[in-house]
Amino acid sequence: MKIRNKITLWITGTGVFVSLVFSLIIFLEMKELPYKSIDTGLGIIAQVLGRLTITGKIPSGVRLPGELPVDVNRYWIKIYDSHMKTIYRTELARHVALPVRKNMRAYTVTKLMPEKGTGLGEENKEVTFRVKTVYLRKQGSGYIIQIAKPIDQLQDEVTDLVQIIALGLLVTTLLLIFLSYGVAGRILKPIGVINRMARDISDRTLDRRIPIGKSRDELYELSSSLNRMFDRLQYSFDMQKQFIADASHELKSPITLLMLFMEGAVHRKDLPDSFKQRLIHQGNILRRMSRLVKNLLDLSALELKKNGEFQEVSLSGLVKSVLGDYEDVFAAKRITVAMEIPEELQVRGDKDELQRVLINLVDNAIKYNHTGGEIRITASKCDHGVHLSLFNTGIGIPKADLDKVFEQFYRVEKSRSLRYGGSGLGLTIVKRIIELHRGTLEMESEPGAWTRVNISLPVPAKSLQKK
Amino acid sequence: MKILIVDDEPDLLEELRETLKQQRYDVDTAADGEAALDKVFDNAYDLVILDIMLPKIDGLAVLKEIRDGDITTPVLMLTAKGSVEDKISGLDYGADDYLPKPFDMAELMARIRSLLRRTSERKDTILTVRDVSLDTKTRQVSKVGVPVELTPKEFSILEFLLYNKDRTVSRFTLAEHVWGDEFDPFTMSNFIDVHIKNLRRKIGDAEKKRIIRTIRGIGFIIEDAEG
Repeated sequence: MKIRNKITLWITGTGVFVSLVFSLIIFLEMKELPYKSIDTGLGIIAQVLGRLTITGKIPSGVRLPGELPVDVNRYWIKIYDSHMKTIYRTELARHVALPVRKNMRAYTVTKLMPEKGTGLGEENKEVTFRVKTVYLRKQGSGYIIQIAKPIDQLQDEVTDLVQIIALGLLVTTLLLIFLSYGVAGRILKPIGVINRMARDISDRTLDRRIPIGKSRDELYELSSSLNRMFDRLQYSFDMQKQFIADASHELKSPITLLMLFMEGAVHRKDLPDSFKQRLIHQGNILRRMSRLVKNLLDLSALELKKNGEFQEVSLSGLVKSVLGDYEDVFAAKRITVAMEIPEELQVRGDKDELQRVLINLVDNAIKYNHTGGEIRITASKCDHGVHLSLFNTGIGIPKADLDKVFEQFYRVEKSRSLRYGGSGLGLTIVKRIIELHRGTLEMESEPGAWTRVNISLPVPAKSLQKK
Repeated sequence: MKILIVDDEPDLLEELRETLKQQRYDVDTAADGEAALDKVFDNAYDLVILDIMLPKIDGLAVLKEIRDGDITTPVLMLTAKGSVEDKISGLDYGADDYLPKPFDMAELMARIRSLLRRTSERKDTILTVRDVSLDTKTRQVSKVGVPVELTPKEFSILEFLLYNKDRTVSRFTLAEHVWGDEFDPFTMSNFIDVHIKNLRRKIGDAEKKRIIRTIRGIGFIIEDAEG
């Protein structure tokens, strides 16, 4: 789950919980509030009745006009003596029985109304009563006054209250979700920026750093920590590249020495030819090593290179000159060469490096071709630059190896290096050069039949070119 | 011919001194820039072979001093870096040629001979073997005075073998020389024989008394003496 959703969930959850507790308190308070006024009213009537009872006016008269502020018959009233004997009851109390709950001063009871005689017009219906019980003690005897009132409308008010609270909760929850989602986005926005920056820093752009904000908050610390990590990474990357460059460089003198010694020995008159042939063979192994060192050095120079000095290069001219160098080779191997490149096609790049790319690719196209085979080089303008493709017949590359051939020292078969030579860095160098030109490179092949290398080089907009 | 070799690698210095002595050159050596400058200003050399990486004073500074001192002795720069920048700055400072390490003796020999001829009093630019002659300046080849048309690659092979007269040159060395550094000599050496065959046909190299002789399993040699 995304942090943003988590934060939203947490804030919403906490908010809803707090709102629920708040609503519950409000609900309980509000629920009791209407009863309080009723209870007070009932209490006043009960007090009056109690006084009347004690003075002996009840049960002599049922009607008590003038003494009470209300019509007694609208109430359910019962008065008991200390032996729980009813000494007075209203018409309503005659028809409906309500329980006496001791220890409870006020409570609600729901009763089914009888068919007639209540005078409420609520026959055969459930009616809720609010009941109040008052205990009186006077001159050794006690009375219990139980007084009740139907409270239908109050029930509705409680339902309304619940509905309002539920609606409020719903709106609050929705608001919380929206707001907390927005807040989470705001909190996470700088992290997103840092993340994008960190992602954009690749092994090629290790010199870039995350911009650090002004306030010294947690994000400032995160950015600085990441930047310090990039410092260390860049340092070890550079060290490694420098090491390869230095090591290759240091290898050159001893290789020269060995080469000179072996060559010198070949010219000595006192050594048998068979021994000289073995020396020549050793010399070739040494040359292979020298070649590898040279390629390693070239590659590390390309790795350390940020971007080159580019110029306009005529593609057809470059291809022609490289193919010219191989002319006799094509003739000897009876390879048919076709070239289809518009004369006016120009690319921007480093001429020497682009030539290197062509040489390495043509070299492969010859090496892995068969006698009487074919090489086709075509180029054309495409949407965002120049597309160059080099096709050759030959042994091809298995599908599984196609994207690995650009890795350093990768070989389709170990035996190929012995049969065909090469340092195993040729295509890695090609790839690096194309990358420096911000181009793309891919290879397709039909094993046993053909191989095709596709290169696209971007042609920068006129405005970006040097004036 | 007197040659000064400047390099800080004693073994390399010794190896070069021995080989060049065998070729009847008068060889002097220096192991650092200071010693090199002392020797250059005290002696008249026909050629200076100068490594770029040197203790005390580096090769480029030495070269600058030499040229500032109005000494026009040809200078061949050696460098292990092999970068284009080194080459350019070397040539800018007035070096006459440039050879990246690792190099082989045949290549060094060809460069030395080419430099010595280019600047020699005689302005002798003609290389010959028996009745075949090659003009390094006009790039003309003739057999018994009759011009022979060679392709650039064939010319390059013949010239290289002539510079290395009486020394066996391997296919690899030839491939590296003819096609240059960028090309893979392992691919190219397979095609040297084709060029040698064509070359032999064009200069009328008879079976019995080969001018370009194949040394089996080793390479090719050009000799004056008919063997």
